[in-house]
Amino acid sequence: MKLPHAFSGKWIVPALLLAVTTIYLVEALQMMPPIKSGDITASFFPVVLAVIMYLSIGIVIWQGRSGSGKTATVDTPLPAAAETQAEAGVPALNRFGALWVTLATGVYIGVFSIIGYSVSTFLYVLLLTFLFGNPRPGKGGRAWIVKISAALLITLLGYALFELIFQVRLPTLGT
Amino acid sequence: MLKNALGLACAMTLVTATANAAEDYPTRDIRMIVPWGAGGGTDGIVRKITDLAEEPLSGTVYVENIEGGMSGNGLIQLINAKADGYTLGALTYDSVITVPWQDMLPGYSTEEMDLIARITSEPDAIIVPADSEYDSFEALIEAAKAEPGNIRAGIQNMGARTHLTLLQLMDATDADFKIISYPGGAAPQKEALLNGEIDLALTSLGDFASLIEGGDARGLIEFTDVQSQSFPDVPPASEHDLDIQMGSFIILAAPAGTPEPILDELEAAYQQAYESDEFQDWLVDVGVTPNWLGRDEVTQWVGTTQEEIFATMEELQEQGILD
Amino acid sequence: MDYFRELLNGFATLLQPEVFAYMVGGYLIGTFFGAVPGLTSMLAIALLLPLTYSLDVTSALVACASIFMAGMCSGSITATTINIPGAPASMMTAIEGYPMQQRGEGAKALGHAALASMIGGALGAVLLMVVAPMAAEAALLIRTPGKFSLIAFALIVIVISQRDSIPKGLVATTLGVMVATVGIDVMQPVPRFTFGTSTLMQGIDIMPLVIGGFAISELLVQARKGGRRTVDADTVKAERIRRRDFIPPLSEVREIGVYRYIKSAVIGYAIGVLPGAGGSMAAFVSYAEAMRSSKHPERYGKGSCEGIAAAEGANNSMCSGAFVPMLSFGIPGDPTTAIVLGVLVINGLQPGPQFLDTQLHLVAPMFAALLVSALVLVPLTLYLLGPYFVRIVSIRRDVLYSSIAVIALVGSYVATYSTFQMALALVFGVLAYVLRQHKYPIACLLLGFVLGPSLEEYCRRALSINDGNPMVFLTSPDSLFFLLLTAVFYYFMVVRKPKTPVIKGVAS
Repeated sequence: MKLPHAFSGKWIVPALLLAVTTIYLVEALQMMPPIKSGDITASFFPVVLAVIMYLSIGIVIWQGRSGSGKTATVDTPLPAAAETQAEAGVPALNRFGALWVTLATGVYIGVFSIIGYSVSTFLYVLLLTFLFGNPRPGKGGRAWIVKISAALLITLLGYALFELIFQVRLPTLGT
Repeated sequence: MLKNALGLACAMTLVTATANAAEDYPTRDIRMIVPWGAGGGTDGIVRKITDLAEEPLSGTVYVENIEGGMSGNGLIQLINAKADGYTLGALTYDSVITVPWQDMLPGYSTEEMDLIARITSEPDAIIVPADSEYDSFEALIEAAKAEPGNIRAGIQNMGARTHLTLLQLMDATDADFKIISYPGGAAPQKEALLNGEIDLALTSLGDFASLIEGGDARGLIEFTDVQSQSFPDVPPASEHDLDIQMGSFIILAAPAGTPEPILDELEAAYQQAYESDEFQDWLVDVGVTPNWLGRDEVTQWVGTTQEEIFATMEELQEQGILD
Repeated sequence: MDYFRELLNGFATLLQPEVFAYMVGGYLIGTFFGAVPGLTSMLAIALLLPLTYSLDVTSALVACASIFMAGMCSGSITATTINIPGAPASMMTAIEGYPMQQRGEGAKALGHAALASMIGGALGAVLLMVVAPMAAEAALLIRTPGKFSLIAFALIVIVISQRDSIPKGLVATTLGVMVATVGIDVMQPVPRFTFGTSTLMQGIDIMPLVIGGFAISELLVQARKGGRRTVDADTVKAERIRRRDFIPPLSEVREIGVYRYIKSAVIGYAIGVLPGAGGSMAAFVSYAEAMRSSKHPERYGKGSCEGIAAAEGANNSMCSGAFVPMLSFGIPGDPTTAIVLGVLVINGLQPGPQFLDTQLHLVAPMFAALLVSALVLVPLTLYLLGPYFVRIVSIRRDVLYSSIAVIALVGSYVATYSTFQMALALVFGVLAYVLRQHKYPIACLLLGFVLGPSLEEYCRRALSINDGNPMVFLTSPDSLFFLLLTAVFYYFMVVRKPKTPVIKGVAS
């Protein structure tokens, strides 16, 4: 439960955006002066954006501080809120599901062009079927067979769609 | 790390092929990188000629549009590809001048490629609306001198080809225009010329062919030293004693180190496609000027063009006109 | 009337079996590409470009037109059923359609979307046939300062339409505009925010943002849920859906009103005619106008049929509008028509002022295809395939979401041929997931990204035309008009906003 809570901390988004905006503003100012000989330059617009961003983050923080208790209750129950309530009953794998899917996708993208479309996609889909479905395939090999054949089928369909119908060259496992 | 992955991606698309396989080249499909968007002018010309070159080549060439970075994204993929004749690319003015000049791709230069041929070259021109008060180039220059900075000239990207043409013109004639930039090809320039936001547009006559034929616009001068055949009413710059020659062009290239026999074969195939009646007629229809330069001459031509334009740009930079 | 005779001939040509087959084939491809997250109808046309050599121009144009039309309305399918808009123009439909789906009204939501698409698409096609030359002339009245104000209007309305969380809407919109500034500057060849890397030089494509913002973030949300099906069996009666559930009840259609359908079609058409705006802006502006003039603005965001109708009517009408400047001046109205222009050029045709007079026989079948695909194929597809669309949610979760992940990621590779853009899709997916957890509107982020570069370009050009004097935005009549319009929307949506407490969950 710790990680999801750290992520749902109220100040994480404003803090993150403040940091990004500051880097953005510094970079913009280093690029060139916003106004040169009466004309606005490539860095003018980014500087204006950074100022708007600071202001709007300021308002978000201020509103969040003054109405910390109220806003939460006035809001209509949104799916996200309902989710956290239901979280107690969710198995551990699902609780960190978002993190696992992110990691799996990152690895998939990393190896996509190295080991080729077919192998990487098959393994990726197989892994995802566990993350999105029942994490413990039932007794016997039946559940495994379903998952493996689904992964094979999706890989083949993707291949047929892009390579065969649209003649797009996907990366292959080569030299 | 990402950069390496990108390079690998290119290398991986090519299954092993050795240089001595030149005799039976091509044994598999050839990739043609067009560094501009699908459906654009460059894309259309390259697709058309490539389609016709497949027959003499007795192979399949497929076009991939890799957009962005003023053709830089496509160039990265081209120069990182294996030099086996299975990856080709189309270069434009920006690939040869703007990208190296602005040093947009560290380590990139035209030396990284073997140039195959130049297929088209189109001089820039000045185009005014049909009802414009400037009925000749002289009248335009006179007016620009009389009211400096009042006549609005529409160019494409700042710091790129059309901008440079205009700066050279201003430098040579002492006329002063107000420069307004319309990035993204000739379409926004057309719109601005039609709605009266600019008094003149600067790009090739071919880009405005439909408006010129439709009687909504006319050309005043073309920055070249030979009379245009498609637009006999538009005089070349040399007729006005101006030595400005600027324009767009399309060059076909392969990564440096591609085996000679393969380059020869590609050149021959594209030349045959170029000379076909179908291609020549098509170019007339779409208002583009064919201008072939084979392997022997194109590398040298690019060298001198770069030298001249870089020298001009340095000069303009010293005068503080160009950033 | 030669002009109308040529148009009628166009319909006759369309009825030739071969041409008709291209329309239906194109429509099915467009439906598939529009509905699947990560694939767009524009990508379908770009990938089919080599085919246009072997086809005659008329068939190629007919196929393009029906792909375009189909792609605009099929985005609503995945938007409604699984909350992943198939295309950016269906974002608004996801906001209204998914809540309806959760209350078990998914079929009705799709019905409303299809009805509005049908009316909007058909009206747009009629407007294209009848007033194209006039509309093209009228579009020339709006110059750079006016375009700046129009884009600014859209961005401001996006922010204020987030009634309960305007500051968060502002943050998300600004962030979208900021993301769009990465890469080569819009006006001159200087890199911005690339931190010296050549990978960032290529800029950020829209596909990774759409795929990350909608598809991947939804995958991450879903990954936290257990269970085998997408939705609990008792909340959705998807298994027993009947065809007649797709027909929107007459009472609701009457409540939306003929006037609103026509208004959405006109807004969509007008935005299509203006070069550089596009489908997502058409859908959004029409949606915002519907919200402003609605009797029940409190229902928006919780499943309003009215909102769906406004957005879907406008984006389909936009299709026809976007052809106007392309055919009249050779200036494409949106990225898809830019590719269609390429189809014409490859066939040796150059659209210009005389094009419609001299070459009408070539494009009349395409006009007919726009009308027929909107009027006949949109409702027919829903009628025949609708029950299967809704049954998407009864596919096993593991199969459904893993196939979405693969197609979306590989689709972003195919659109750019770059694994870097795939990686960006993941980065934006995680960002959007975090933002969604904190109730920052992702639609704002995306619209900011789409419209930001135009806003900057128009702003800088307008100032350079007028020697840096910002008064130009007040002195040009076109610009002043949009600024006043912004003020009107601000008044109705912020100053006079409904004080009634938000009705929880169910609409009355």
